[in-house]
Amino acid sequence: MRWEFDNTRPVYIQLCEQFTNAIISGVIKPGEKLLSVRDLAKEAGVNPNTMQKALSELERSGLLYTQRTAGRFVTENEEKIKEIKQETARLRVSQFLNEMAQLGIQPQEIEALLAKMKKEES
Amino acid sequence: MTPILTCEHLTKTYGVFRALDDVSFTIEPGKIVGLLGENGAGKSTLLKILAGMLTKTSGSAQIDGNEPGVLTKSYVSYLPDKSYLQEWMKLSDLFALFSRFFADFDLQKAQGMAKDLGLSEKARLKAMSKGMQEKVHLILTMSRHAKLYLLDEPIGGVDPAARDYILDTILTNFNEDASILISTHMIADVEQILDEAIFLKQGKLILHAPVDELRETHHQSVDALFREVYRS
Amino acid sequence: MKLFNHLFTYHFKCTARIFLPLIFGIVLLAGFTKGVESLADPLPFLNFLYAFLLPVSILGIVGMFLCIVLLSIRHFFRNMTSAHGYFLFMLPVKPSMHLASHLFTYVIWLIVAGAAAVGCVFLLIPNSAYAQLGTILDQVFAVLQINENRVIIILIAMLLLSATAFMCTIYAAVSIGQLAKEKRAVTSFAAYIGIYMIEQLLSVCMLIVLFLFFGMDLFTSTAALSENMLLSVLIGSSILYVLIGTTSFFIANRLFSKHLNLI
Repeated sequence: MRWEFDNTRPVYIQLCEQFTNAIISGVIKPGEKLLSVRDLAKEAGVNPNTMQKALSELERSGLLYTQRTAGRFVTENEEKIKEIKQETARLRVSQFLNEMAQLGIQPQEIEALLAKMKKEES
Repeated sequence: MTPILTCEHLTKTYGVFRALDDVSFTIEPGKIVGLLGENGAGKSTLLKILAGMLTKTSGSAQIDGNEPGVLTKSYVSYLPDKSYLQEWMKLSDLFALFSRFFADFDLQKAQGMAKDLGLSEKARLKAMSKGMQEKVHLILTMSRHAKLYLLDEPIGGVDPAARDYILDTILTNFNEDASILISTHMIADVEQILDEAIFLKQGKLILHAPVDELRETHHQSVDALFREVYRS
Repeated sequence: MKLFNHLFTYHFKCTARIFLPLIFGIVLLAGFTKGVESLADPLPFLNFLYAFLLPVSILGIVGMFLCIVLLSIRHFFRNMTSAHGYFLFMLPVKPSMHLASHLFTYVIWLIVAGAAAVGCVFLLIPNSAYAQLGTILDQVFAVLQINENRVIIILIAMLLLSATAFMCTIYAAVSIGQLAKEKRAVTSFAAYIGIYMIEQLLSVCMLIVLFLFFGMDLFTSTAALSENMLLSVLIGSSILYVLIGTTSFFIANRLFSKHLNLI
């Protein structure tokens, strides 16, 4: 995985987002085992405590789970992943709609624009 | 958790000049803490007092319950901001020296790090570049299983590749029960690895908070926040 | 004790790099001079070389001692006040042990150099004079009316003692000098001058007391030295050295423990 950070927001939140993106886009597969906290922290170049915090957060949301001796895994519950994928998509779309509203563009105009772009592509 | 480091009203004066002025803070085990401030803010002075190189004027400092002294030196690993080694020595001599004097020195770890960095154990310090010498100092410091690491400007004058390696080394080589206090004026380079930040200005502590909390409340990088706080 | 050994080994290695070649070189020079002298018998033109080498060797012996003392002072000063101090004071070792290990290293080198110097002097004595050496020494001791063995032992002990006390006063001076923020060498030197003056004052007092004790008229007496007199001056000085040495050591230890000020 490639890690990019924006210095103005808490690192653990960005770690959560990037893990979530990687899981819902399939870069990390369901049931896949993760590296140790230490190795992940080293890979991302962040503090192990921060990595730990992000992973705990993801466990709480159900995307990851820990098996006491074997380590930490991505959930095998594909429904759950789909659900979070939907949620994320919904969030992004509403963000996008907000931005468009700020520009004064109506939903109908957006639909028309989308249809036009689709035609141009094909 | 009992703090690994507690400073209370720590003060160091030279005549009328207050190099450290009533500094109080605590550090818990397992934290990487940035000691941030411009040159002359008192960062080195604080680290020197904690390392037992300098005697405080008043106040107190306790490292795992003890004042800086012979005892604390056995579990505090200190990286000064200058080269302190005899230049005619070979890397292997230095490793032997540290093994003899520090019970917590991990020879295999040191040898591994030297190998990673492409440093020959037969090479004399004299024959190494300044950057390589800095790496040697870092290897010696991080190869100890200390309770507290005091790093004074570890990324001072090195190139970006070396800086990344140094930050990497710091991240991989400290254990969860240990804490690291790392001083720097290059905040942007280290803020990603910090748990907490301490701002020093003219010997005074002006801020001590978790880095994530600072970003969350101020919506800016610690570096940017630091500039803002410093200007005011 | 284990740490003391490690410290001593460290200082010994640091100094041996310079001192060993130095001492070895002087012995070699003396040996070479002797060789030239012996060869000068069949080859008279070598007499000229010998006349040159003999004073050079003697100067060399004096120079060797000077070098050892000066470099020992420099070694200590750099170790306790410069960047090298960060290494020593990083070690989990009491300051008194730093002082003691430096002192021990220095004394060992003085003994080694002393032994080398005695060897060199014997090498440098002209072949023709060997036979007369014993008689000359006997005459000297006879004139002085003293027991040679006892005096030689006391003399060596006192030399070592004075050298040790001298180094302790240097340590005290450096410990005072390091308190200064800058110009530490100058401050140390000034501190040494102060200590030296106190030392001189004390020895004058001691001599006056001794002379009074022996009922000598300080200004007119030209009487030959008695053995007792000489012995008591030696013993008196020894006591003085012990006193000055331990006081200085105590001051240095106190300042390096409680007022360490590395830059």
